[in-house]
Order: sequence, then C-alpha cells, then structure tokens
Amino acid sequence: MTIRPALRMTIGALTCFAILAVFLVGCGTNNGGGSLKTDFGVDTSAKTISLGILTPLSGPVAAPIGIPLTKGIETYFDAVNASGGIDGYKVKLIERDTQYDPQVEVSDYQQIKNQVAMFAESLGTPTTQAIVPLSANDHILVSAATLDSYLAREPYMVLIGTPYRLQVENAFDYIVKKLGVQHPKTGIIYQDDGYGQDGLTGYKEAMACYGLKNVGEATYEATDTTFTAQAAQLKASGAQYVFLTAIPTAAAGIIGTAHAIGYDPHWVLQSPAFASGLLQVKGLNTLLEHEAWVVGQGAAWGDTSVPGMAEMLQNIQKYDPGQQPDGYFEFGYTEAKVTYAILKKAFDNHDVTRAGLLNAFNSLNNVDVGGLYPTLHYGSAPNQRVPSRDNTVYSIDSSVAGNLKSLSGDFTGSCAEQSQF
Amino acid sequence: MSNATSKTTRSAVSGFPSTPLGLLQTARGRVLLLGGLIALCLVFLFGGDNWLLILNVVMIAAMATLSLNILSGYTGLISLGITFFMGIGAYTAAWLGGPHPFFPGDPVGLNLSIFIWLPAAGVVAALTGALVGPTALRLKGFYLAIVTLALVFIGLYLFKNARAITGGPQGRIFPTPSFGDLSFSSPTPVFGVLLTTNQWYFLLLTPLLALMALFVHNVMRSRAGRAFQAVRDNETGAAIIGVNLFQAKMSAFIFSSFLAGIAGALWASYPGGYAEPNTWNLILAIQFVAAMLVGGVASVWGSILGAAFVFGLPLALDTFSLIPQSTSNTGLTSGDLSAILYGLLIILFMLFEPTGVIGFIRRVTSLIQRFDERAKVKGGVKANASEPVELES
Repeated sequence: MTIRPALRMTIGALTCFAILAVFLVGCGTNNGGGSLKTDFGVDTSAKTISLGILTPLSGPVAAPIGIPLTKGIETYFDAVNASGGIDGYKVKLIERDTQYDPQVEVSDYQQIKNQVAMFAESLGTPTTQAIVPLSANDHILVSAATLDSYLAREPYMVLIGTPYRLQVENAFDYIVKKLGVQHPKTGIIYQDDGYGQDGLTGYKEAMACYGLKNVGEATYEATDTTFTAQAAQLKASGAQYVFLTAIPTAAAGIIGTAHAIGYDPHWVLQSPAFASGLLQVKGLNTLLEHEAWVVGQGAAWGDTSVPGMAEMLQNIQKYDPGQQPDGYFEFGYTEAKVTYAILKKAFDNHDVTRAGLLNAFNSLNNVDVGGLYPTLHYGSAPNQRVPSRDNTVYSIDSSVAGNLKSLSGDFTGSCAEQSQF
Repeated sequence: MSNATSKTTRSAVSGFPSTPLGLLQTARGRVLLLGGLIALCLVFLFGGDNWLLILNVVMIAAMATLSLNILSGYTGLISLGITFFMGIGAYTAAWLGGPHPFFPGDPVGLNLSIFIWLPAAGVVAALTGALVGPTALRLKGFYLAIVTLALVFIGLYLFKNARAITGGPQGRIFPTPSFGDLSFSSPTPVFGVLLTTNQWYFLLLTPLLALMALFVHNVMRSRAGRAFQAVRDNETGAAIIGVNLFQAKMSAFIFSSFLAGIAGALWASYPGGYAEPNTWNLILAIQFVAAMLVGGVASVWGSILGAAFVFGLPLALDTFSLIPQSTSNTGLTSGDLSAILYGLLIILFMLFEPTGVIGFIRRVTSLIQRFDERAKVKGGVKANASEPVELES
C-alpha cells in the first residue's frame, strides 16, 4: 500500500461528507395553531400536548419510588383528560425508563426532547443533575422529582416541596425548639453523592443554628450493601439523634445493622429514606415504629377533610383502583398539579412554546395544590424558586394509612426561614 | 494473555486489516471502506439524534478502549485504572474550559478554547501517568492490576474533595466544544444549514477517532511499538535483545494516559456536559476492560468494535426496544431486557470466540478468502479442462 491512494480516498470521503452535509435540512418549527403559539410537543390538529417522563421503571429505585410516583402523575392527567383536557388539549405522557442511571437519563432525554413541550418528571438527584445543562441549552422546563436545593438556582428546574437541606434544619428545629432538647449529641449518615451533600449542608447549617453537638459523620456509597463500619462509627460516637440522608434500602441496612451491634439511637429519616415497603421487613418494622421519625411533607393519606386528598382518592378509584397508600404517589400527584398550573397559565397566555412555558412558570406566584402540600410559591430568582420551607415530622405507624402520623404539624423552623439559595 | 495476543497479531497479517487504511489494500476492502463512509454520511444526515447519540458515545468509548489497549493489550500491563486518568483529563478540561463561577462556591472555570482544554486534558493525564508510573511499573500481572485499582479509589476520594475544581459530590458542568461564535451546545447553522449538537459532535469525533486509530496503528508498527509488544511477550527476552524495559513501560503508560485524558474530557463533555465524581468509578473501568476483551486484545479495530458492543449495544437495545416503557408494563422492562441480552452476549463471546469480535470477523474474512481461492482454483481447472474440449469441437 502506498500513501497516495489512502490520501485520495480520505479526501474523496471527506468531500462526499461535506457535500452531503450541505443538503441537510434543519429542523425547527413554529406551527401556528390559530392564535396559540406552539413549538415542540403540541399537535394542534390532534389537540394533544406531549410531556416527557424520565423515571426509573426498572432497577432498585423503580418499585419503591419510580413507579408509584409516576402513577400519581398518570392518575392526575387521566382525570384532566377525562374532564376535557387543558383548553381542549389532551395531555399525552411519553415515558422513558432511566434505570436511575445518569447516562441512560441523558440518552432518554435526548431521545424525546423534541417530542415534548416540557418534562413533567425527572426522578433522582444524580440523574436530574445530569440533564441540567441540557435543559438550559434547550430552554425546556423540567419538573424535578428530587428536592436537591442546588436545583433552585436553575431557571429551568421546577422543584416541588421543601428542599432536603431545609428538611434537615426543620428536623433539628423540632428536636431543639419543640421538644426542648438542648445541645443534643447528633450524627449523620449520608449517601456520598449530590443528594447526600444536600443533607450534609443542611446538617451543618442546623449545627450552627441550634447549637447541636456534632459527634459523628459517616458516609456510604449508593452501591454499598453492608453498613457495619458506619453503624460502628456512630455507636462509638454516642450520638443520640442520627439523621439519615439515604435511600430506603440503605436506611433499612443501617438501622438493622446498628441494632445488631446494640446501638439504637433515635433515627431521623430524610423523606426519600422511608418507603412503606420497609414495614414489610420483620423486625425492622418494630425498630422503625419505636425509634425512627421521618421529616417530610404532605397531607395524611385518607384525610378527606383535605380537598386535594379527597379529589385524589376519588381519582384513584376511577383510574388506578389497585393503588395502595403511598407517599410517593401523593408526591407525583402534587407534582402533576404544578405542571398543570404551568400549562394552564401558558394556554391562558396563548403561548405554549418553550419560552411561553418558562414565562408561565416564572409568573405562577402561588400554586394551590388543594392542601396535599402547603401552597407552593414560585418566582424567577433562586430564593423565589424554593417552593416551600415548611415540613412535618412524622412517626412511623403501620396502623394508619400511608404509615406516617404527624407529630409536629406543619411548621417552618427559624433556620430554614433564613436559608439563602 | 501473551499467547492469545500473539495469535491475534499474527492473524492480523493475513486476515482482517488492522486499520481503516489497511482496507485499501484490496478491491473488496476499498468497497467496504467506501460503503462504511457512505453509511456514516447517511447516519450523519438522516440517522437522527438517537443514532448519532449512540455513535458518538461509542466513538468516545473507543478512544478510551484504545488507550487501555496500548497499555494492557499491546504492552501486557494489566490496568484497571483507566477511569482515574480519564477523570484527571476531564477535570483539567473543566478547569480550563469550564464556565466562570456564577454563584459563590461554584467550581472554577477559565472558559478557554477547546484548542487549549482538549490537548491539555491529554497532557495533564500523561504527566500524572508519568508521576505514578515509576511506582506502579515495579509490579506486574495481578499486583499491577491491584495498584491501578487503588488509583480508581484514590481518584474518587480526590475528585470528591477537590471541590474548587470538581464541584465535590454535587458534580460540575464540563465544557462544550466551541470555535469562536460556533458552539456545540445548541443547534448552530453552517453555510445556511442547521446542525444539531449531536451532528457537531459527530463531525468532531469521527476524524479525531480516525486520527487516534491511525496514530496508534503506526506507533505499534514503529520501533517503540515493537518494544511494547516484546515486553508483553517476554520481558526477559526483550531485555536481552536490547529493549529498555523501564523506558518501554513508561512510554506505554504515558501514551495510554494521554489518550485516556482526552477520552475523559470528551466523555464528561458529551452528551450531558455534567458529571459527578462517581462517574469515574470501578464499574466504568471494568466496562472498558470488557470492551477490550470482547472487541479483541491488541487490535485497533478490536477497540472500536468492543466499544460498540459494550457501550453501543445496551444504548441501542434501550433506545429501540419493542418493550413499552411504561408503569403499566409489570413484566420484563426494556432495561431488564437490555441487561439480560448484554450479559448473555458477553458470555457467548467469551465461551465461543475468546479472541473477541475482531477474531470472529477475521475468521469470517479468512473463510471468504479461502472460498474465493477454491473458486479460482476450480475455475482454473475447469478452464484448463475446457480448452481441449473447445479444441476438439
């Protein structure tokens, strides 16, 4: 082989490449639908608006969180469609299984981004973080099923509820101010990723605000299956209250291991650390009911005095009759209500383009979710994009629907009130 | 491993060509190459974002697998530390090319051009390789594997704690290539034609991978490359014939780290432009080892095919799966199917084709060649046999 044919071939191929490239027809439309301005995901002839769902439908996060949360969104929009849709437009959900893997999430996002007006769900902190720059470049709103406070800085991210960081602060406000425990010996075990860091940031702010005596901090990897080192470290520290920024399987492992080595502090679980399924584990259920609290949000399941809950239960009967009481379902249903509010405002403004949806989101101000969550607030600055700062501390009780019983009522601690984003 | 790789190298002489340019040696090869290039053009123009995404990921993974093949395939130094060097490259790129901090506490970024951050990613990774090399290369075999494994964990610790550069466990934004006013981050027109982000990356990655593959191929045929392979096949023998073992190993380590750094910068940049320290974990390192083994050890083509198999196949299965992705599907999910098929194919390859995809292709090529030769011989015999008949008639 001589180099000449090789060069000739390469130059020929590159020329072919360049010539063909010139014929490429770009995409980018601005369909006119009467006076309604539309671009992606809106079919004016079929009268549908498509929304993307990025959620784990397989893998360990699917059954306890991904599936019930997504069913909450589906149920809400089934009801919306049955009552005529939004200004006559039916909502169509395009779902993709992210497997809770950031790389798969990005691939899924790329696959469907041009088919949807916005994303009605992106579940998980590391997965959602992976699409933050993309959503900013594509000017597409993403409703995040994660409460990572960092996302409040991102103009295209829609948070639902009180961020993790403030959850931790409110939990210690309850212990110090409501229960009157002065300078408690405390510790934290957190997942070694963005989710865990948010919990740790809140813990450090709480230490300064409430004079906590921090005696131990331990971390674990999301893939860990044994937690002996963390449990032993916290036992040695003598912490009375241990905060867990974890996922349910890890929380179960940590609490069970600590008990096995004779350490039973009072556990305070970040909202994603608890799932009703944990109560099916014999032995663990007793520990959880006696030694653990959960800090979270949301109306008690079955409390029909809350209008949003009554409406949700009716819709469950119609569209998803097999659904068991589940906090993640309630979260998804609430999330869908916020998405609906954005879409409704955009339709009212006759602009459901991506720019129109962003404008609608920025001008939402308050969203009443029927008491399922406290009224949520939105705006265009980071501090305004924190939708709420209040929480409820719950005990775990398998005898009540949803397995959570309010201890504190809904409140905002002094530290959470002042936190800046 | 050395016997297997020696066989692979030998078979490369007669069977499947070892680089794309090797295809120019035969008419069939030229047709194949032209067909391949036309296919690439078609994918570029009409493949859409789904196919381009898969191809782009495969091309970056192929660069990383190529870097691993230099060290483990050609030089015989088993390494699990590739993600450490990829991470070093990625964070160098992020520091030099990343955006300026917007909020207090945001990681630093100097917002420099790709002409600085991409080569710098390779250079800093190579320098890091030069620093850790002398210690690591005192060992070989499994011991070296363990030391390089430790690098992955040291890297994870460093990346999680060097917050000013890496963003800590929260991760950070990585630079997107841009040339003056032209940025890959959003669809940009060129000569009146709007090209998508994935198309821009495709235009960058295709020639870059081709150049890397050609460069590695040429190096492996040079004096230095022969020294690498001599070290792999028999260290004592290599020393006797005058190969400076330390120099050869260090060169391979630095060369491999350089390519890994560049691959890392691109891996973080595409497709999301965001990565957290856990990205550079052991599982990813093992995937690159699997790509090298499945594709073919000590082979440029093997690196590309292995990356396509290990990184492209699951993405393709997931993207084009016939199983609906919905909460109403309570049986086998698309993700489950992808994982099962992927695992099954790896087992089948290891059982029935241990020389990898490249070995399989070489076998098929060799069979076709033999068939051709037989046909020619038969044709010759027939022609010879028919001549007298014609004469008689």
